[in-house]
Amino acid sequence: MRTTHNLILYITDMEPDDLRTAERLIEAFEEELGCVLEYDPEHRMLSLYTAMVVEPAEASGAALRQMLHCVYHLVGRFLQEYRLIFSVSTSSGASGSRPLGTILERSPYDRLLSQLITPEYPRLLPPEPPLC
Amino acid sequence: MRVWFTNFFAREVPCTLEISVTLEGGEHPPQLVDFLRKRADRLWTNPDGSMLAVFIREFRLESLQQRLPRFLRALELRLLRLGACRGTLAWRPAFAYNWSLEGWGCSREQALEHLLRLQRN
Repeated sequence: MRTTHNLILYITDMEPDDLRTAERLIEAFEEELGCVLEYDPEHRMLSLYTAMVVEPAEASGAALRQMLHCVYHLVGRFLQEYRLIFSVSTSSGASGSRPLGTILERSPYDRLLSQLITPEYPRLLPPEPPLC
Repeated sequence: MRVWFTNFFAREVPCTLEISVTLEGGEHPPQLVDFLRKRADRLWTNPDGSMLAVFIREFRLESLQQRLPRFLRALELRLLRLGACRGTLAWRPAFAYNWSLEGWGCSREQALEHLLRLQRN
């Protein structure tokens, strides 16, 4: 199973001399990580917006740590002084909960049906959709 | 482990959700327990008899809004058919990491210089 995390990276407050090497850093990011850094000359800032897909999903923590390590390693190789902001978020915010049985309250069947929910009365329940 | 990057705004990315079922009460029908043992990814039983079953399932972000309610409905109906009475169905992103870091950095050469300066002082 796979899962996705959204990554945002800002590299700001670079030294004026470092601006010349920013181009080399952009190339290194593209070569080593396959990500394209965007350069904003007005704010002397580099930014990255990307979604990272990890397979298996259980390895997400290790993959994110590795990514952070790579970013620090790459940036430290090219820039002298800088400020780095790195943000990670899950791509799906879907979450919630409900008590079991509410599905019947919303169904066209009478609410009393819930009292009959035993394996002996399976035919009274609404048709069963396929379980993924 | 395989890692690849895609568009930040892509809708077709895979996302993994954790769907958990909490069953209250001490005794549960054997067919219900059997179903959970076979189909759930993790299953815990507390000393008071209540159970927690976790299903880890992959969805795609673009179709999540249609597929997740269908999955929840199918699971809930199956549980009710098997005799589940009181309990809760919950869902949330699995392996969720939400954090941000902010820091100042310098090159390795500069870090070394700072260290040497400190040693000299």
